[in-house]
Amino acid sequence: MSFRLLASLFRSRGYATMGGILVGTALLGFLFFHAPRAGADTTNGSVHFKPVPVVHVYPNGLRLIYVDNPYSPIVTFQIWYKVGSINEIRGKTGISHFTEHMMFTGTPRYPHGYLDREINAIGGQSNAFTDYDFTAYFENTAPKYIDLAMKIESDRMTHLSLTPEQLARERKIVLEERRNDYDDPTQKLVEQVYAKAFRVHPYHNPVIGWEPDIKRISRSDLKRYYTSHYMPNNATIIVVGPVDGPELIAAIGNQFGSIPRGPSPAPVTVREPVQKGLRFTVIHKPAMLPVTMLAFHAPNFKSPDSYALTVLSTLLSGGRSSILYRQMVYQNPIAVDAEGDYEAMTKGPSLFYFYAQGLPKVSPPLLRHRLEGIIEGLKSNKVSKDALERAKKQVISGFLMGQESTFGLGMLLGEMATIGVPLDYLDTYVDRIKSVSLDDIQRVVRTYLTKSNETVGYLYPTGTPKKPSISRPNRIVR
Amino acid sequence: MIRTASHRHLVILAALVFSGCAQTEIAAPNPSSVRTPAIESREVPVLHSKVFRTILDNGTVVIVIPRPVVPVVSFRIGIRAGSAQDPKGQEGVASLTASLLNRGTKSRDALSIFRAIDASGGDLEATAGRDLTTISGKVLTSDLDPLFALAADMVRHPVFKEDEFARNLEQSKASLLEERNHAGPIARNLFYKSLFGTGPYGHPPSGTMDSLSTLTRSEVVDFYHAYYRPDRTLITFAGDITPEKALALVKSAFGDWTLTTPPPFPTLPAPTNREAKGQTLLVDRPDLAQAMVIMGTYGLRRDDPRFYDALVMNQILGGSTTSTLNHVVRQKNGLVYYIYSGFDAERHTGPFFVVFQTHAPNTPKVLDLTRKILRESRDAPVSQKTVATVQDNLLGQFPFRVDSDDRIASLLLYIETYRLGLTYFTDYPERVKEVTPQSVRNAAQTFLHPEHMVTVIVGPIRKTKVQEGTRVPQP
Repeated sequence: MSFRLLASLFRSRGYATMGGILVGTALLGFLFFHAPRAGADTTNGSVHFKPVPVVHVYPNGLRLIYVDNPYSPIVTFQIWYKVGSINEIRGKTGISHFTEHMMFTGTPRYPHGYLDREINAIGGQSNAFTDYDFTAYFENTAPKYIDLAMKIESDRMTHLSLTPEQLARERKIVLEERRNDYDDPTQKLVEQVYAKAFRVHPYHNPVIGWEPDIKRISRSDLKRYYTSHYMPNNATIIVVGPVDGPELIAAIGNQFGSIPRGPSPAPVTVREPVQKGLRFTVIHKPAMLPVTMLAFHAPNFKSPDSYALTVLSTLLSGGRSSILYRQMVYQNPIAVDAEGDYEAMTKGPSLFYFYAQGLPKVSPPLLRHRLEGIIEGLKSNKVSKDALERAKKQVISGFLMGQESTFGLGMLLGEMATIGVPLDYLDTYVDRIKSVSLDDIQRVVRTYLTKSNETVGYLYPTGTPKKPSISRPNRIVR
Repeated sequence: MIRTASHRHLVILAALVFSGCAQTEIAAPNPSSVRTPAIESREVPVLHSKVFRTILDNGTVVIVIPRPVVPVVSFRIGIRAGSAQDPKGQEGVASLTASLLNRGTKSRDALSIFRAIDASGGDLEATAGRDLTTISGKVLTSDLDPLFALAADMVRHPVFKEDEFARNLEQSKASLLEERNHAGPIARNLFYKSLFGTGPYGHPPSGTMDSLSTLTRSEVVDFYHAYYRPDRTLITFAGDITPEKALALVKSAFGDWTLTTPPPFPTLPAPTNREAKGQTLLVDRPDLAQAMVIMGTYGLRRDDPRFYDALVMNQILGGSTTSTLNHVVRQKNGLVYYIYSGFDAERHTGPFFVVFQTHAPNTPKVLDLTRKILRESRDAPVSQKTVATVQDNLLGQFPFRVDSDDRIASLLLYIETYRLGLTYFTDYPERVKEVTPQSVRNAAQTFLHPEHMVTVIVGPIRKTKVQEGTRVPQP
């Protein structure tokens, strides 16, 4: 989930603490949410509503962030756990994702199949995803059914059955998923590039885990992992939709309040050593088209450079006027797709990566040659002022448009809460983007997009083709 | 993948139960303009808003749902110029025409269009479907005017430069080539072809290698002039916009677009309620491990009054994760990776179909089981409880059809294209609730014909051990 696309703005002027309750009502407000205008003539009488995110912390450490939007036709209930592949140790990779699978296999009270049946009966949606930094579960329903989500999530926070039969079944499913990944040539390339770029940091491992690990993870491993990460003080609940705040706080308190706090999981302290030289990985797989990937270590949201890197990625591949589309896809085409991507919202170190899928018979080194030519060009010549303004406008618009969807807004809040992005970061976001200069762009290109910081990956297509695809690497949706 | 009880083929829409009657209101006359078209409006309870509709003098329809929570607007410009309008021998021309809209107008070349879109911070894309070509835009309210003006320029003044035409034609051919690697499109195209032949839905919207190899720029230009007309244009808005503002925008961009040519020759209607000739078509792909199967027959139009009965019938049969097909074939017998059924209910009669993918040697077993389930679904009565469960599911799903401005703007286009009326938002739950076990049974008897289905199998035919059928060369 790209921060650029999902992020929204709120103002944080600080919290008021009242008996353990952090109230954000008057203090946090969506800068760009606004009351319906008189001319809009909405039929609902409450035209003066102003949605604000409210933070509430329960005595057992569970955090709730909700946004009351009375105009939303649905409600999203999401529970975000601060656990992902970043927390995994060698030999047990994939255990976060495996646990996520087990979360759907039932508890004594709600056995396997109950959730699917109940959600289906009310026409709702339910799913989960595991990423490097988090595992999240959600139920999207018509507003009146929100209780079902609370009931299911509070029960499975601590009561998973984890039966050996279910475990054996899910292991097969996860291994099948793992094999599908192997079959997808682009996914394989992304995985190899990450593994090369990160030698020590857990981002080295694919979120789904290495196959031998998935085969060996035991019931007691899963049980230990589950009990040490699934607890109220390691979770944040996000609710967006037409909700009554006090009622919601009370209802969630009733469902989750009695679950005891657990010992907080140890923080991840591993540091990736500075890369000192070009790294390479090459794969030969059945595929339709050649692919080249270049990855460079880059800082995350905590660095002031993250804003310039965000604008840079949009300059490179935001829309058809972007540098890569223009130079590699539209004029003198050698690629069907070319992108420069950067994700600021990561807990650990980030990567700035280029990705180009060539036309048939274009060689991966040629793609690299063109990409690196563009990078070198950015070091010596500044982009035009117009191009920079366009890119900044795109970043800011994307930032605001993303909050229009109820589910998308929930995702943003959950990701921020889980990764530890402070709210004042958003307070200043638009201004920080606006203040990115041509010099900043040139500086970050020169600083980060260097040979000694680079990992190159080539995919040479062989034999029978398979449909290529790229999404954000390693995000797994069940 | 998000697990929902819906799937993409049958458009499954339901609404929550709301009181409140629809009312027609006529907007107060606006003294500053000479003639203000009447604005119709209806309540949209699920969104706590209203829907507004009006028609300009030149025939362009404008529909708006204001939803002013976030300063974002989505719009759609729909032109009744879909692949159903492709002339014979020019299959794919609607799609190519749509792809060239952003490649140059009288006042802008492609690169300046790209720059203008990106400078707005919004998105603007054009694509052709079977019944409509759609230009989709989403942008911050503050940047709506220039992006909408650009979209109008693309619709009204495209130039179809020869080099851009050649470039997009090559891209279309490349993607057709790429499609040959996938069993899904091969099976689907053959299925539609054998049911609908030379009718409007008989060919794929993207065209065929044969048709693309002879397509010329002047055919694109002729197609454009025949079908891109104000009286074939529908414009919808959802989000932070008032009906007055939307109308003013459309008037300034499209108001002086006048009819200069007679209406195009009407498209031949698709065959309706015909019994399909039962046949099995086999496409041999020895390189695949799985067989991809589509089987089915004629379904219905979206505006058919039996639509809601068919909808509930299909949900029970194969339209959800708890359906009979999914339960018996997938969960109980573990024979398929997926199986589902649906109707493509559009402007003309589309198909009823069942789709599944299975390990090749299982194919005959799944075919037999599926046919057996279809026979039983046609012959056996349905309980009130089963119908009620599906009704609840459909009603609960409806809000998801309108949970973003983009979805609402698209839904408005759909409502207008398929003539469902502004009362749709309150009609839908009522129609769903009116469905009874008897009407479901009638629908099953009308639409399920396991003996007369077209069955297309793409996969390693020898390994499937299928005993019936005619071999068809890979397209």
